[in-house]
Amino acid sequence: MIYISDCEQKTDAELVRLSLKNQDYYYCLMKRYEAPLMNYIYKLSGLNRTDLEDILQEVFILVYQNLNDYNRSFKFSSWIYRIAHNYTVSQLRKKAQGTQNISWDEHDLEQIVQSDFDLEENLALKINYHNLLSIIDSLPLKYKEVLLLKFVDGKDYQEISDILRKPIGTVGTLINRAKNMLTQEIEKHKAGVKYD
Amino acid sequence: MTDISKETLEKIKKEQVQPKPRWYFLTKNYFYWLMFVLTTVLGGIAFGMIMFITDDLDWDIYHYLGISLPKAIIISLPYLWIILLLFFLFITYYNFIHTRTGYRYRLVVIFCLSLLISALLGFGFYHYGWTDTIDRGLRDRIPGYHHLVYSGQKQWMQPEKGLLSGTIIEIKPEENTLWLEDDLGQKWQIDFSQAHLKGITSLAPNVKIRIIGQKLAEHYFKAEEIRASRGFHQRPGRRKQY
Repeated sequence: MIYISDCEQKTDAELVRLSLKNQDYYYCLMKRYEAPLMNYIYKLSGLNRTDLEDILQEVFILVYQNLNDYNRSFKFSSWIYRIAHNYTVSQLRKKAQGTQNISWDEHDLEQIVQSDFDLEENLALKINYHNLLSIIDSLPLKYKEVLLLKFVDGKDYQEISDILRKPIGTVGTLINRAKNMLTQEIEKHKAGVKYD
Repeated sequence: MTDISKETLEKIKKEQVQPKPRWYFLTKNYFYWLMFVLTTVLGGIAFGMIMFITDDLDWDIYHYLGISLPKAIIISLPYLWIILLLFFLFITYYNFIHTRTGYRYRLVVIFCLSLLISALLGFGFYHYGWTDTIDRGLRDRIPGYHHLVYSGQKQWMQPEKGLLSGTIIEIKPEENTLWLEDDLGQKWQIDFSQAHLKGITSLAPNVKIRIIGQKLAEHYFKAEEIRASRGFHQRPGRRKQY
């Protein structure tokens, strides 16, 4: 049996190598990513706890099956996020289930606000947190996912590029469009225009 | 609270889930690279064929056909090979973005790079005469291919409009006539008493020529201009007939 304390000093790449020799090391790797992935999948999908756990378990099994595909020239976190992202999106499509209402916590919102996202002015619009989060949640998936990765999970452009398998330039464009769209939606809200 | 990681590890052990072998992923990656190379070469062939067909056509005779230059261009473009080139470029792009890091490059960069490589390869194929060999092979082996491509042969095999193409069989200088076997195997008597030569210094048997003139009777043609076939067709022995 491997304990978390045995793995604390080890890098992701070392844990991948060790997991291929001894399955028990994979526990450390899963434990390391359990919370952030659960959070990401939840924000992306809005699924309930049971469905989330099912998806996360399938993601971990997929990751384990594909461990030999991990390339050390990439960040392991980007690689595991990519698998989680792809699997979640495919499950959502299979179920033909759009995103559901998500209860974001205020910490997430602060992440967005305090980032380079120029929303300070928009926040002065006195839109409450709940409305802003609803707006973010209502954005198309391709914009929502980049906002989540950039402003909630704190990924840089290269990591987002590796997770979504898109060129960095495209990621930058998507983030800008997402920001603009969010700003427009806030303006609409301010003007009292009803949005879906 | 559920320990998902612990549950997952137990499931992995219970169901004896194993990581896929490394060779599986390497093979998959190499497959995409192999397909990338293959489709790039095919794109090069398509580009070479476009060069070959375009160069094989004469662009200064469209007025004999009673059409404008834009219409001549629309009629003459090698659409089949252009479509094939675009198809191969798309497949090349698809294969490239499926390699490990291919997704990092923009579509326009991959497309332009593929087109450049195809163009360089195509120029090489054309320069060394491989496109002529391919063209001949396709005409010999694929029924109906010649209907799909507006070639120099099709362009010049219009005796009613004063255009004729073929290989010299025999020359009778004392009578100012020669015998020509056209690209469809018909024999013609050619009067060249008032013809001038263009791009060719002398007439000799087995040389492929193209003639501008007038059809005076069945299998009898009066030449006003005789020019060498273009592209690689004019090389003796390279292309006996279509």
